[in-house]
This record gives sequence, structure tokens and C-alpha cells, in this order.
Amino acid sequence: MAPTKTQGQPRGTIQGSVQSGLVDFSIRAVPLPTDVTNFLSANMTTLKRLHRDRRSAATVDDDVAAADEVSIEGAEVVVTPEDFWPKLEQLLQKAGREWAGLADQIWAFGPRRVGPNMLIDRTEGAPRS
Amino acid sequence: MSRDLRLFRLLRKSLRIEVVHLDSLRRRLERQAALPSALATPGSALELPKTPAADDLAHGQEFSATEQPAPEGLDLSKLKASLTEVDTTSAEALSTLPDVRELDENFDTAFQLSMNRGPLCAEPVIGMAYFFERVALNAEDMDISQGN
Repeated sequence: MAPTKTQGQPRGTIQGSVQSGLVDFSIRAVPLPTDVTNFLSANMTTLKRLHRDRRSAATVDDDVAAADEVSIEGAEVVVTPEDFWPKLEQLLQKAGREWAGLADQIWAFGPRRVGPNMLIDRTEGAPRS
Repeated sequence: MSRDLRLFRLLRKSLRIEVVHLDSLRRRLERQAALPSALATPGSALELPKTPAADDLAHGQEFSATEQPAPEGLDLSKLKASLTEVDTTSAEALSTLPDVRELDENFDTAFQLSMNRGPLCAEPVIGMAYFFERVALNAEDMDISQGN
């Protein structure tokens, strides 16, 4: 295996700095467990619905459009919005020690807030959005 | 004290309003499912009262010289004092570190954009987790009033 890009840090770590040092940060990229990826891709609609509830239940007419995106991963279960977080938690638990308990630290999904990638807040202090 | 500096302060204020409802995505979504109209009134950020050009004492003097005599009851020296007071507080606020939280939106947006267009051929990224491990602001090294 090639050496890590950042010396002395776990694989995937990038330490960046912008605005000539005003802000510096460290981000580690890790592949998601396949189960979690599949679950997230299958449940994009669910996530979208969760986000939509949040933006006040305005007139919801893109249900039809959303229905097209369901079941790209035919085998994966599509859960109801209420079941989303418990199920995700369970999958993360199953994925191993590194992932267990991360459900509450998820900052965002992406792209477009519903995709099969996640940004996880591991900074100290209060949790982020 | 420059215009940049005032802008920066205003920006910080408006951002702080945004920062109020920060929480884990899960808890936020759950809370807002219970309270569907919680986000329906975000406009407050734009309605910030514009602070007068209080930073600039010279400006104040200029005004006091050129404007018509103050109406009865308005003590110019008191006004001037209040202006300088604002000035010092702003200087204090600047010398302390701005809150890292103010950058959260930016990190979120960056994440959404980079997931949308991956590093190889602008492909959507699938199945990656990004651990946001550390962020620090080193404001004391910077001369923010220079605007760079």
C-alpha cells in the first residue's frame, strides 16, 4: 500500500488551510460500508421526505418525481421516515466499532443533502447540524 | 476602523443568528418534524438594524460640525461618548476569536458541492464518509481589518 498522504496520520487524512492560515482543518475520508451505502441510496426518497417535513409541509407535488428514484437498488429495503434513523443506527452498529454510534454525529448527507455520502462531525464541543 | 471591519462585524452578527439552531442532523430533523414551521421564519438575518457609522470618531466630529445644532435634550458629547463606546466594544469583539461555527454553512456547502462532482471526471461520489475532525481559526495572526 502506498504511504499515507499526510505523515503520521491515519489513511485518508487531509490537513488543509485556507485564507493563508486563517482557518485550518483536518478531514478524513473513509469508504462507507457497502450496507450503509446501499441503504442510503435506496432511501434517498425517505431522506428527501425527512428534509421536506422540516421545510414546513408546503405543497408537496414532487412525490411523483420522487417515486421514480425509488428502488434503484431493488434488493434494499426502503423504510418509512420514522424508521430511517433507527435502521441507519442499526446498520452502522453492524458495520463495526468505527461506525457504531455515529448516527447522532452525522452533519449532512450529500450530494443534494440526500446522497449516499455523509459528513460526520468529529470535532469537540456541541454537535453540529 | 475601516468599512471592512464593520462589515465583518455585521456579518458575524447575522451569522450568529443562523448558528442558534445548530444540532445533530438527526435531532434537528426530528424536532422540526414535530414543529414544521420552525424554519419558516428565517428572515431575521436580513433585518439586522444597521448600526450607524459608529466606528469612526472623526466622522462623528465631522457630523457635529456640519449638521445643524442639535435639538434640545440631545447632548452631543454624550452622543460622542456612546459612539466611542461602541468603538471599543467592537475592538474587543474583534480581538477575541470569531466563532468557528460561523463557517459551518461553508463546510456544508463545500461538502454538497464536492459530493456532486467528484475528483475524477465530475462524477457523483458514492459511498464515502468524511470525518470532520478538527477546525481552528487563527484570527490573531491575521489583520482582519486589512480585508485580506
